[in-house]
Amino acid sequence: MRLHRRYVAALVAAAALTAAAGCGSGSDGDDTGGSSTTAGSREKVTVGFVTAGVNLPFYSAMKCGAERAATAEDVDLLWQGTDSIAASDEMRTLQAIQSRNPDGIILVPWDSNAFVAPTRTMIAQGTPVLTVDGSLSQPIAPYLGTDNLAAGAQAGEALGELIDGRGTVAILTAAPGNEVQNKRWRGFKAAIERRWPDVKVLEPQYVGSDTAKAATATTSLLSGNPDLAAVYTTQDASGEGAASALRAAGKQGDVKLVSYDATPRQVQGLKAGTYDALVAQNPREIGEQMVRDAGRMIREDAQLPKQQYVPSKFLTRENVDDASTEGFVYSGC
Amino acid sequence: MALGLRATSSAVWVTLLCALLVAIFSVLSPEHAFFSQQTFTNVSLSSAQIVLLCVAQAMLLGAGHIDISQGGVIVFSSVIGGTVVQAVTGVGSDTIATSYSHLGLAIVVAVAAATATGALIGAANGLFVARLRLNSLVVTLATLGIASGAAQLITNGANLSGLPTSLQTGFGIKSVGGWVPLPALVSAAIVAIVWVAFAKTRFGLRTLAIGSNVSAAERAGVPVGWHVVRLFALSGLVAGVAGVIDLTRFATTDIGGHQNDALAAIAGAVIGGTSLQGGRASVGGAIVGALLAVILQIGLVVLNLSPFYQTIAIGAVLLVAITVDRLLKARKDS
Repeated sequence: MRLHRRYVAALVAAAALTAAAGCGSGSDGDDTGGSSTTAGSREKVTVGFVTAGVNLPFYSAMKCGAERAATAEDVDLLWQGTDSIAASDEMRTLQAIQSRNPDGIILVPWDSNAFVAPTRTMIAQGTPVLTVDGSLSQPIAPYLGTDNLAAGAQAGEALGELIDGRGTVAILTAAPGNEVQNKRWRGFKAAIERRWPDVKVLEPQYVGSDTAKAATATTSLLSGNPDLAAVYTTQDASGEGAASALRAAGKQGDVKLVSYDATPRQVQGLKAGTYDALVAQNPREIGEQMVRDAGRMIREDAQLPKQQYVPSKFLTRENVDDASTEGFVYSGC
Repeated sequence: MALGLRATSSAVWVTLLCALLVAIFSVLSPEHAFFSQQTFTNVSLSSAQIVLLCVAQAMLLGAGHIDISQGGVIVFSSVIGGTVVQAVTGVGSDTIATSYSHLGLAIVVAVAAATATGALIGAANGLFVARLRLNSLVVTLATLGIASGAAQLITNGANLSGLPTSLQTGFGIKSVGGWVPLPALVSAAIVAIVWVAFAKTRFGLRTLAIGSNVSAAERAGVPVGWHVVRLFALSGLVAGVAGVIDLTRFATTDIGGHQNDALAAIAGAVIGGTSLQGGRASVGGAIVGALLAVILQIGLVVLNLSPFYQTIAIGAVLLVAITVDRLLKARKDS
């Protein structure tokens, strides 16, 4: 038991150290809080942000815009999220943030049904909720983000042109049951069927947010469909997987590749010919606007429009070097 | 029962660690936000499912087996339950209804169907393992795939919607007195039954005997095959219950989720002193092993630690937990 005590002592010491470090950062926060009262006349408000898949480059870019706006708007931003994309994990994080009693919540609902009831509860308790990037199945909170159906449709029309309206097209998407991802490929598929009736669109392959699975699926699709003309992916990881599989098969350029998202690596790939086009959202702009909007909902009780779309951009080799493209590349600050 | 004692000491140590974490988070969080009714409710609700899985996993591990399929069973049984609700009330995924006919009946049938589905898949796992003497890791990995894929097939790749939100408000996110979530109560009741059976009846003795030495257990007259089937059925049954909880918490299914649930459950059981080699298991340890991860995940968010550091911190604390546990035991042995 003597040794037992020694371990406990070491652990308590470690805990004390953590505590000391934590207090240090806490008092820093108080300092900035004090100085802001002299800078602006507004009282600071606290806004909690919660997403799943927080490690995706898209959210790093969104965070960059959000923090910029938070400084300008006197907003204390609690930026939280889970690595996984499971609704249960995100729900746990959302509830944990609620115990900090934020004045408002910005939520990326990774499931359009699961978050309806908790959102309704928060609104009933007087906490305004803004949904971004994904929306709820019932219109109880305003939405801000990309018009995924329209952007998918734009990709479909443009891709049809790239392949002269002939051949087979494959779709790689993340997970079944994700409405945001579904809109991206449904919009795409509908546009092709409408505008390019001779193109055959295959059923989507579900590859998760997993590069390796996407590569395997692409290779199999190539062997199963000799007339494969193009691959469309609804997010960056599957785009990278498809790119590597096409390169390995020596089909790069022959089989066109159009992907959602625009990470720095994807943009490089577009310039180098790995990709033929990218659907670039504008996460920085979304991040800035969502913090401004949340501030208005809290301070002015503002009623936001049910849906606000932040324009996406269809990047090709022709326009990728334009100055106007800059904000569309997903990078942190 | 020296073996039993070792498992118990892990449970005690992990309980202390949990208490220490609660103390640290409470002191460090602004206005002691962690030490609140909200956190209590969040921890109990968030751990309701994983605790069930963890305890069943501890039983299986104690008998020298493992069940990777729990996550797939959760998804499949929640889809079965949700489909039954839709069928009985006559409300499909594309309709938005405000009132549902026969809702009470629908819920009763759905719960029965979902839990029975779970138990049946579990029993099937058990039959493959016990009768054909196949490795449980591989068998359950296979059923994980079959169950997840079947769920996606039934739902045609889209999560069920149009389910009554009264599932959520009436059970899934409802708390007794604002403190104890109903799913946590159900979970606690099931765990209590398993605990009593494990500690007080020959169920526990047989489980550990099989895990220690199968042939000795057989010679001693333990119905090994039948017992293994029962253990797998238990694991499937609690996964079915977790599926029902999922359905009521979210009023939808999560067909892309739960893929890592079984791994998390195995980790929780092992942290709580259950041996991966069999012959040693602890129900109490499995409970606190599951709670440890949930407390960490919630506490770090309340502290507003950057999400990337959270992942590292959780890994580090788990490593510390098992390292200290091992050192404590090494000292006791010498």
